[in-house]
Amino acid sequence: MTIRNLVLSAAILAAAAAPAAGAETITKKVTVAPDVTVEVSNVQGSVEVTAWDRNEVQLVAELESNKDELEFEATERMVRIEVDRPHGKYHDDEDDAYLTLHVPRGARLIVDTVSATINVSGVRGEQNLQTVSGEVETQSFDAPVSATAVSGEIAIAGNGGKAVVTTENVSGSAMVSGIRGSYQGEVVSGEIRASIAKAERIEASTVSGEIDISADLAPAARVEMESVSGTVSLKIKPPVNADFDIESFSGSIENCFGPKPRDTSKYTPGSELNFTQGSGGARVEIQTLSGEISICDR
Amino acid sequence: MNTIPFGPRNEPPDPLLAKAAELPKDVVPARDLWTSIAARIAGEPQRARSRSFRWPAALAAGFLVASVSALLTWGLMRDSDPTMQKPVVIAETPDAAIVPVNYGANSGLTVKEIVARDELLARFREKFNELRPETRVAIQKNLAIIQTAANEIDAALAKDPASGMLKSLLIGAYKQELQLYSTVVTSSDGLTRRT
Repeated sequence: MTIRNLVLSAAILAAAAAPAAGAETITKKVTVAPDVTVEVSNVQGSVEVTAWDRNEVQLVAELESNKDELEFEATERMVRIEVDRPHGKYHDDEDDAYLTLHVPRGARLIVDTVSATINVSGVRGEQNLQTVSGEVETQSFDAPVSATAVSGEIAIAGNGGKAVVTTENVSGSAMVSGIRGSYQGEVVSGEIRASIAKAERIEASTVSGEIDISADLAPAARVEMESVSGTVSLKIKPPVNADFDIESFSGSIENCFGPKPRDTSKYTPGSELNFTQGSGGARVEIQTLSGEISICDR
Repeated sequence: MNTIPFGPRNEPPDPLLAKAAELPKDVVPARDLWTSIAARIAGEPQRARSRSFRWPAALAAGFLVASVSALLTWGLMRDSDPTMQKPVVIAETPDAAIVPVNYGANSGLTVKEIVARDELLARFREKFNELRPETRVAIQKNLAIIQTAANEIDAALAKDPASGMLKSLLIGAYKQELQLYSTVVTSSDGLTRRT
């Protein structure tokens, strides 16, 4: 493999030697492979990534703090950009770093931030986006997209491609729309709202949050959802041909398809609901400890 | 004259007890947890493969993790039953506000799983105070939510210890706790300090 830009791989340390003189802007551009891997790490501020039709990665970095260090390293196959804050603290709102990137459409993207927002547009390669308290907004096409946030929000807009989309939240929300194929979502106390076309695999779980998923199921789809005390709602677009297996330890089950849940014991509040709708084929399994489960076709 | 029965009693078997005896003694977890947990603790190697490496930081981190691990293992091995979780001993730290989830006696979590959690927790504690105050509050609140869930599941498991559903929910809560720590650690480490 030829690495054309190896000569450019020296780190650029942009820590300003002069005392705080306001924001500093750094621009960098390199030629890369169409499916280059771009790794970005920022502390606070933002990471904006836009796809373009050039085999180039362009970075415009605006650093507000003279304590931050910007490291830029590039080869033909990989570009690595990191804002490092050696002294740790991430609290001062005036110390943001804004990274604006243009990357090839087929780039593979890995972005990690602490409290910086992540905004990605038009990237068709695999995306792995993670933040602690920032927000994540991106689009999915055919490659896998994974987004993780602790207290931030996640928004993923599909474009009809058959992507595997994964979201993981703690207290924030995940809004996923327009995707096709597979979705996996986890949330502790936040919420998940997702719509999935021709779903083949759905997995969603929460501790005390809210899951609201709308989907039309492929003939052999597998759906697994669970909550401890949160609410789970699954709306399936007709025609519905699925086998349902719903179980609750002490929560409630609402079913608009007709069959009523039955008690699992005379002595405990548990209930379960097993039935086949239409010709069956798809499989839906939902369980809760004390939460609410709702399944419906509207 | 009163007759006092003694010796073995040949009463007809209780049908409820007979049913209970037919229940499975063990429930195999729906999926292998340890593989994904080990990957997370190892710093998500599939993502870190192409990253540069700083030996001094790695050695220091390795020594710290090994020390904590050895101490926890020693403490846990002193107890008689090595398969069940014992109350987690939380080391004195500058920030006592982080209270990890204590999984109850019915959880079935192994020493290996708890030690793994505590190794990740030690790295999480290093990063916690660097976060924004509102993020720290959100994390504390959600750890409390997971604790409440773990307590509810444990109480339910006491009533129905063979329930596969309850074990699955417990494992889900454990994974959520690990995920929380992991996200903070990997995001805060940046690219170059990650091992």
